[in-house]
Amino acid sequence: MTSEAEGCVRVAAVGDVHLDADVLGRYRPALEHVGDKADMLLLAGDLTRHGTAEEARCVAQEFGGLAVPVIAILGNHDYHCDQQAEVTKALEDGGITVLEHSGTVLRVGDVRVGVAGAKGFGGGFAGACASEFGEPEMKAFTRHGREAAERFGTALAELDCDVRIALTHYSPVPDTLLGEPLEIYPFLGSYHLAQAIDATPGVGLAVHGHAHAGSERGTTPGGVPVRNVAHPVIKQAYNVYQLSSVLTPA
Amino acid sequence: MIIDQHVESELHQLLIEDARISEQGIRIVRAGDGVSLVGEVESAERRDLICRVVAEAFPDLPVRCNIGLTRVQEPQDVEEL
Ligand SMILES: [Fe+2]
Ligand SMILES: [Fe+2]
Repeated sequence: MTSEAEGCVRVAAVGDVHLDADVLGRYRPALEHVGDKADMLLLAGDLTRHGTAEEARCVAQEFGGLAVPVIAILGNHDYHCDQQAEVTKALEDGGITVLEHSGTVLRVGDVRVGVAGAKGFGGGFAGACASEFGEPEMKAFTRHGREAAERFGTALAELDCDVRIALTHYSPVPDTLLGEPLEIYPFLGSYHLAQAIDATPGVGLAVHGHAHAGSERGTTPGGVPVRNVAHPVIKQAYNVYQLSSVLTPA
Repeated sequence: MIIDQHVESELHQLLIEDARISEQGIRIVRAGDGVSLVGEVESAERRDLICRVVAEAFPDLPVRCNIGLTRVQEPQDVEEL
């Protein structure tokens, strides 16, 4: 049965696969049938261990040439060696679309599905967040998170589509961090990301990774479903989410 | 060897900052006179290396390795949102 017949969009997603040569081939058997199960595959960052071009080529080999479009963002690990440009290029050479404060629109049947992606950053959540106050380092940390969320929000709003998907590495909500130590929440996500998501109507799903010890499900204050797809959280090759409810024809 | 917060912090930084490991998702749990390393990684090589590096850095510390491999099965279900 095709998506068109069902009138729905099926989104496969996984994050934090942390690939290197030692993992090559591990995901491949489960990816062989991804085209039967989903219309696209989202990779939610931390695709490599150290962010080298060599590791990124492993990602391209493992997740390239699939039956569905693959859309990725980078995570903090993918920035570790300051080779994010080379990492991005290696992924793109493998046919993977890489987003950073940008978006792409796919057609699934009659539905135009827009995906906006960004790594995002930390900063924390209501009642326990960083502020632009004091030392320059503190201001820089806080400002970086806020600006990343603002640019992500712009990319999300600018998508010309019927339904939007928000793809970040850092979490927009604390719900999906449950299981992580409270003390590190400000390094795991930012409420500014949720603000950006809630500012645009028609977001059917927000996907993130990064919180390996977190939990899978949450919602933004505006009611958008949030899913933490970090590999150690979902404990399988990828999860599939179906966005049928938001797609009732007007 | 006495495991206090200093040892625990040092161990935690080692797991993240040693380039052979670079794991942010391994928990250190005090267990008896030693520690237990708890978490999931992507390959058996990584699991073995983590335990070897920790044992090298803390030769007097009994280390139990409770690290598993994250499963990579194909999903059998779809969540309807
Ligand atoms: Fe990660
Ligand atoms: Fe991460």
